[in-house]
Amino acid sequence: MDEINEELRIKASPTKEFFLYMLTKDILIESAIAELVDNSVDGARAIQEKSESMFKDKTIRIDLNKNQFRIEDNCGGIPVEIARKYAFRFGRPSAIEKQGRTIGHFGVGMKRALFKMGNYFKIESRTIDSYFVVEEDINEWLAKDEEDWDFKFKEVQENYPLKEGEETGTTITVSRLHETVSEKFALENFEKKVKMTLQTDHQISLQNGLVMTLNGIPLTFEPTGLLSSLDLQPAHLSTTFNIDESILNVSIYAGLSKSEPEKAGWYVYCNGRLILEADKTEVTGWKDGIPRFHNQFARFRGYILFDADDPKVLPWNTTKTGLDVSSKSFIVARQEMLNLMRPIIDFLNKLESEKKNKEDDSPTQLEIILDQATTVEVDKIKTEQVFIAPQPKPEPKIIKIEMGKIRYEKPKEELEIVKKKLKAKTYTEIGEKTFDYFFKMECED
Amino acid sequence: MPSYNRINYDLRPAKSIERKMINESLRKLSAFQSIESYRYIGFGSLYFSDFSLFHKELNLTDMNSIEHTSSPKEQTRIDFNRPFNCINMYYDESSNVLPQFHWDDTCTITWLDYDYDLNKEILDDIRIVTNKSCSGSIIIVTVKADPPSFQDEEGELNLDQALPNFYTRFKERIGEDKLPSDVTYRNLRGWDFAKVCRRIINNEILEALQARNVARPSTQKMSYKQLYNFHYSDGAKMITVGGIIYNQGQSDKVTSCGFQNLNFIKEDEEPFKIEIPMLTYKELKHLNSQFPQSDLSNLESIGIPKKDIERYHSIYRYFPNFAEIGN
Repeated sequence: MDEINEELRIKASPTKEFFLYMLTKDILIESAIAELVDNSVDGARAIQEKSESMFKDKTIRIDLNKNQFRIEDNCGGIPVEIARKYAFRFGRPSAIEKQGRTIGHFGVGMKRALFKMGNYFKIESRTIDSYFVVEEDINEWLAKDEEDWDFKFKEVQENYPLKEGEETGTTITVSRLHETVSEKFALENFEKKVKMTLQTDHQISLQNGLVMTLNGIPLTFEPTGLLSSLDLQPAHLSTTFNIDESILNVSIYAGLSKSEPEKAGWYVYCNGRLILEADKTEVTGWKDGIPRFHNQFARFRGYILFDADDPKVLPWNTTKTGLDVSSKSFIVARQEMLNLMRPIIDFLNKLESEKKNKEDDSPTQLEIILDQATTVEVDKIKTEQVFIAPQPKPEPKIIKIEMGKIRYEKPKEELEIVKKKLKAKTYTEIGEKTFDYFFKMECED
Repeated sequence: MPSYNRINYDLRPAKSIERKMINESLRKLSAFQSIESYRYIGFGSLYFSDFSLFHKELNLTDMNSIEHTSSPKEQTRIDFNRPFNCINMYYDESSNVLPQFHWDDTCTITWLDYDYDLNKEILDDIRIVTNKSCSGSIIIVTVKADPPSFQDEEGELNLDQALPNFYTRFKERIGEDKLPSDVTYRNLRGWDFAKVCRRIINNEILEALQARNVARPSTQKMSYKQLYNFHYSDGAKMITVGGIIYNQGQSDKVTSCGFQNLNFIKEDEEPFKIEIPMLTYKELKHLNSQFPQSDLSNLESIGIPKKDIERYHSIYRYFPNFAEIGN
């Protein structure tokens, strides 16, 4: 670099305080926790056997209370070399070669999370051949020379093979929590919110056997599944794209489930993490060749899983909390999503028209087939397959009882009283039940 | 159906004892400001028992009763039963009425006295009151906490069906995010369910205060101290939880109130159980003549079970005098 005449120099480097403020300003405390958990999950994914789809004995323990935050995993640890050169830097040097999944793509996540929570952190890490401890007091770090941004190992061991019975892993502790953080961590309701968020975000990893606990309580998951039977088969496509010279694996599952409008739609996962939940917008193809979402599609479920060693090719935004709609990866995959979705939407339209043609609201033939189908967890669907829709069988002849219709109006106040008494859900039900009651009491022998 | 069609409030002994206990504790608030100047907000129903007591005993005159009925017939009847003219009636949902009060610096005693199970709307009411109450105010919440039995009427075990179903319904009613992480359907049996309700109510108060505190300087944070944790049953299991909301700068005032000198004040998860002993009028008088008593084993017990003596001793000062009034 050229020597600059000191007289001509205008200072433009950031102060540490400004940097900390900017770094942590726009991140929620919930996302800070998610960042650290993501790092552990990424670690677990990186060291699991490629052939093995299940996590084996991998545990992430998260503990938080008004005094400290702690996350402990046995998921590989951070190599000393990575820690020394990259993991603690603010931002990733552009020259860095691909490092696989073990380190985050954007190079700010971990630090941002630590600073967001408190003024003191300690990281202890053990890999198969190294060990280190970093301990920093943020206030002391701020008070140091303004040009000195570096941290220091408190302990470091290289060429230090794992001993018998020892496990690799990372333990991060943050204490001297900021006031509002400490107040939040003291709330049981906050604990529950964190638990629910992690359960949703890491549902796939949990389903694959990763054990996670929050304050000692195991995280649970609702298995992701699609209806299947002899007449009904969910679609599955597994494919690979080459995006900017990196391999992107895409796995799509689509089919039917219970009719629940809130849960219907597309679910998008990047390296096992849920980034878009139950989407029913144009983003995932609705209103774009496919009709706009309507409750008759409340049985539709689609899951698309993006996996890549190089996180750059994954279609997520910088905070890994949302979809990058304009990414090449998503644009190519979206075509496949639409292809898989079409026949399912057609079938649901058919189901709806079958229902409309029926005079009473008893289940239609197709509905009966769906009710009898069982749920198959998506990770059990190994082979590529297309959606097979059940075909209605010809209506069996049934002796039709001739029916008549009654219609009447009554004051709402009275209707509500009767509704409660009858435990009826609808006014129609009130009508039927009161009729049945009268018939039974007054007309039968 | 309004609850007064089901229960005559006057004939619920445990409820009556609870009311008198709360009344006595409220006297202690004078460290904050004179008790007469407190406002009362409650659900007076048709009987206004709490209103009558607090007006007569504490001379509260700013009294407000919320009833959610919109039927003019019922309103006429309620208006007729209003025992004192200092009671203002509000006929609307509590969630609509509560934000309308002028809360600012008016110390308020709010008793959200529901006779049904905890739900989202109740949690909303709790949040509103917590959010608005000024330092020195009291919030009290009563809900039903009566889970299904582990046995059905034939004595068959209910465990596979009734409790898990109850758990699912409860989760939907309050919102899954409000159910503490460690609670499973096994925690909803018997009185354990009331303990879960207490946690959910307190959690709502603490969460609302935390949000309120974000913008306050550290010496002026608002705190909540639980004072009430009553378990009682006049038929169905009920729980009353509540306490004082105060500015941390005024914690010495809370201390000087001396709430803990009262035996029924409970600051943690251990409840004060109001259990009605089965005693005759003659026995009551006999025991009264030997109370107060520091060592109950010294008592001339005339064959009354020890448990009943203990129960009675813990509540005798608040025990209702029931007598048949002929006319």
